[in-house]
Amino acid sequence: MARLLRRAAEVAGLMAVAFVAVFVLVRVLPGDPVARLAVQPGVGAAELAQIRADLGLDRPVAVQLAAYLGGMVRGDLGRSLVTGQPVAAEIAARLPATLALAGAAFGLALVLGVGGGAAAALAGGRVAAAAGTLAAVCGAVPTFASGLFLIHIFYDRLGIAPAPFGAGAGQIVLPALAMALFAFGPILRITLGALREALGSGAIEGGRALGLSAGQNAANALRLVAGPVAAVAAPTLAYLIGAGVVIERVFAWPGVGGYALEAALAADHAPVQGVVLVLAGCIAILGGAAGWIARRLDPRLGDG
Amino acid sequence: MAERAGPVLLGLIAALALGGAFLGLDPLTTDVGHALAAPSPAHPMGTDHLGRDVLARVIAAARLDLGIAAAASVAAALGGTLAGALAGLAGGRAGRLAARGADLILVFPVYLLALVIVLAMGNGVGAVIVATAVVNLPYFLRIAAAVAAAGRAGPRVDAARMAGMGRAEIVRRVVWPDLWPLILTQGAVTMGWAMLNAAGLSFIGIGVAPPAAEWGIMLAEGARHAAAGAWWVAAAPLGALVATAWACHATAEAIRARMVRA
Repeated sequence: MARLLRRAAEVAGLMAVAFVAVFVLVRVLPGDPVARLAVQPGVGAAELAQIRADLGLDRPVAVQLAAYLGGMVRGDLGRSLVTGQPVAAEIAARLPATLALAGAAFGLALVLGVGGGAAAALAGGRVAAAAGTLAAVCGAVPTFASGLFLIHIFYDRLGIAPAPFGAGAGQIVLPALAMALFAFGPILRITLGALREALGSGAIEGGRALGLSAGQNAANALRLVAGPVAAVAAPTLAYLIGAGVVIERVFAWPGVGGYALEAALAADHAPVQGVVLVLAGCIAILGGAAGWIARRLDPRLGDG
Repeated sequence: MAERAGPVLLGLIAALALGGAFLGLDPLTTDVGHALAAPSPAHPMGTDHLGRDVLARVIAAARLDLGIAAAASVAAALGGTLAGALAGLAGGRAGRLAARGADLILVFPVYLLALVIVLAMGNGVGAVIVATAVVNLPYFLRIAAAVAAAGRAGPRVDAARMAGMGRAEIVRRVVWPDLWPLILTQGAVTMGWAMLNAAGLSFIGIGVAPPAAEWGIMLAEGARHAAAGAWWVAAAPLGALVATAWACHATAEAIRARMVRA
């Protein structure tokens, strides 16, 4: 329990530093949102100064940061310059869609990667080599391209997929598949390699010598690959959460990624900051959880 | 043979990227009278919706896509290796600080970081390069720190010390030979990733802007016409992207295989 709390504190500390870095970076570097926002003719220096003052952008960075953090405690992440809506409410409405898509894609990638890797390791020889090649080729196709291709095949041609707009239960299949196809390769390769090594390792041979059943030995072998697989799966999950920025655009999926993208292209700070804060938090928490699960599965990894 | 395929393909693509400008191809001139023409001897990969030659655009885009990927990979490799090596050699507090810094960067996925950098720097190729370099830096840092930490102790270091070698000599004789093949491998992996990232970002409107020829933009434009049967407009940039990403991956595998044998 104490260990869990310490981990949680580490994650929180990491996020705090990450957020302050983002906040300061965006304000110290020379991109001026107000200047880009007000490119219409007739907007003079006085109006720009007025907008800056209204937004509080004329105050020192430290004061802005304190104001933002103060608001954050009350669940206030500021307002979007473009829509005028509170950012926290817009993120809350869209976050479930993003996490559902990333979760579905991650589940599929795990099934393809661990299942395929285990099958390839047991088959060995040519099958294993072919699986490695297939994984490498799939990993070379970007998600937006496979997404467009899947839409073309399953919606345009075959007509069996629902229209690629919105976040219905049927709509999640194609984007999740596009993301999983890109992401499962590293998981397959690490499962294949680690399982081959595990099957030849002392722990498994020792198990046979001990007279453990085949099932018990197989369970032990899977435990032995848990650490390496988790080490690859955690960054994969992080990638999938962030990849929403691209794939949500392809499938008109109403998540936070597309929201942040539109805001960034319109030089609208608050939504991007809010989304980065929330998603980085999700990634830090899920990354910590992945490490914890790996240590539970493989006692050799220790308590770290 | 199979092992050479990756590096050879990557070399060919790089040569095309560097030498493409001298082939006299024109990626920008539009010819609406011949829009969406199927592949023919005059246009081996057909034309796009504005009548531009798809082959010329795919080749012109190679320089841009590979250039962005190479710039980001080299920056990540240099920064990460230097920081990691210094942290690994110093050990203790500096080493832990560097490891925490790497953890910190890793909670930002590349696309999110790219959005932040677009806000900070403005939308352009520079933002894509910086975001890609920063996201990939921790991997180099971790590798370099681990290898360099081995340069602080161990039998080879003891031997080198007893032979009267200074720190610089130990780094050169003990750390560097272990380090550079790993960095090279990671560099090839990063290159493939960086290219897919750059294409994905231009696809959603970040970084390269039309009418510049870039594989992600070409794919986005071509996808609209693929449904109507003009498959070649999207197929050509997709083929180029996949071939290059695979070549980077295979090159990394080839370097790794050589390292294992050595």
